[in-house]
Amino acid sequence: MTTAKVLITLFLASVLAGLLPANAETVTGKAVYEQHCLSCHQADGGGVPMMQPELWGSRRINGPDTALIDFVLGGSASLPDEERAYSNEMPGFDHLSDAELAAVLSYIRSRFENDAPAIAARDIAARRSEM
Amino acid sequence: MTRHALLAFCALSLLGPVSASAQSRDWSAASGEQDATLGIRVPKGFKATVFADDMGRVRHLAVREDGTVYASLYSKNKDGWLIALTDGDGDGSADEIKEFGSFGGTGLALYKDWLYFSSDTTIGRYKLGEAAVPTGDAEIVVSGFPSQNQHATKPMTFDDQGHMYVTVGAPSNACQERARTPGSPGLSPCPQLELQAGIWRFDANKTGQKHGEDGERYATGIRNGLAMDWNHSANALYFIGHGRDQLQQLFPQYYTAKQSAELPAEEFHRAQKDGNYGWPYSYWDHQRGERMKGPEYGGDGKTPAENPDFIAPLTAFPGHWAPNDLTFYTGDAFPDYFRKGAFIAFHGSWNRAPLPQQGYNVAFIPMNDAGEITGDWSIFADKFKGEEPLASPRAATHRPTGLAVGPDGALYVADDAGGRIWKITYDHR
Repeated sequence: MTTAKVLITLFLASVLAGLLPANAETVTGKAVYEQHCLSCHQADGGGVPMMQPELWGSRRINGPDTALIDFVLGGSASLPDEERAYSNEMPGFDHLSDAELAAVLSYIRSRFENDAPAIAARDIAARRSEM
Repeated sequence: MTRHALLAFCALSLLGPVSASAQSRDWSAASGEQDATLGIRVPKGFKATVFADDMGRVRHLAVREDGTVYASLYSKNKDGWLIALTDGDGDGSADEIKEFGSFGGTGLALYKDWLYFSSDTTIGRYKLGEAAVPTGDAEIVVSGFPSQNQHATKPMTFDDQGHMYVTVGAPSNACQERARTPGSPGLSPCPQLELQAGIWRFDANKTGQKHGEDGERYATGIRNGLAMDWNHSANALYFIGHGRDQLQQLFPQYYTAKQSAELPAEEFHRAQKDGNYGWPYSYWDHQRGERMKGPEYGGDGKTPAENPDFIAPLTAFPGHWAPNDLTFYTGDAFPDYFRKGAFIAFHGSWNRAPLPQQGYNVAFIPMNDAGEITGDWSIFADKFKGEEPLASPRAATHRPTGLAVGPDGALYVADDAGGRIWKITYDHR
């Protein structure tokens, strides 16, 4: 490939990238959601009646960062019985990286009728060190 | 049925010739027309009526000799956990509906003059008198089932020798060290098999029994044999279990999303005493016609299970259809093709996502007096979903949960999404 072709390719790529959502975290968050969350919470975040909760306008998702991060790192096993309205247990996701967790939580917070600020990888790291 | 499964089946039983009438006529739902007000489609020649509607999360059904229909509820309605429905004028629609019962869940069955029912941890019974609703207090037949969230329901069925069979589901997906966590290995041996993941046999007539102290494990290695029925003609217990979830999510190196949607099969078995059905160490791959080693136990999607004691199913259905109830057709009002055959209510899938969800139907397996399968299964009633393709279970209009045959030979079908109960009759046209 000549230098000119490389430059043209780079130029086209940058134009195309400008047409797509610019936030790299959104893209990663979507991928993490599809691999680790979608089968239970479904593509539309609607969950499965009786088995897994919907993510729509969720109090937990829109609530304090620390409680949300702890819940996702530790899973639902720590919930008191009266909060167990769903039959399936959510595993802890501490095997995912700080960046993956930050990306997926930010992704979920920006859709499914949720509206809360993004979460940074350093926020995840801080909670992880407390556990 | 796949070719392999058919061959395996032929080797297991003496396959009689399929009757000419069974081959000459299509008895599947596809031969009928959908009725929008009914919400479902049944085969040509059959008729369905809405027996009751908006009843809540209706699960299993039982019909008494006098035609009273009983239904259990997954979650309590205003006045109780159980419903009694009667159709005094016989128009196919219940005209008296009463709620009762101080606890409950999914399990429900009639035995002698008793109505047996269950919560997730206890089996109780009410003595039935002349009235549809029992007047006395519930007796506790078996208590002490482990408290669990997953696969917690306790359906029961009865043989002719005074035994009650109870499914105790597994409290996990595949007995992993870390529940539903990618790559986490399976516990070996799986401690959940001691008191769960099998079918237990109790004294049908004795109150005050305790799980773990009374009764005996009848069959093991069953993740959730929620759909279970005693076949009085063959004198044997049958069940169809829920296969494990999330092969791709937990082991993406071995399975594609498409394989994970189709696998593993929902397995239909004739239970053998002390039989082992392979959970959590294995699963049935209906596309290969083979029992495979589970990925938590060293499998990779291509390696067959090594243990020869794990029993192969009589037939198998596609993955995640979620069999919720099984009942044998004991009436004589349906065509001969249906006599002694098995109806299965499939609640419908959730973890075929991102692929469209499937199941959400009532299937039929033709069988003979000896309890042998005599032909391929087919879909007897469908269109419960309400939309096609169905992306999420939440969007389904109806989800089949319970089945029962009435004294007049009608088939009743319950649904826990719309709270509907249908009565299906054959009207010879």
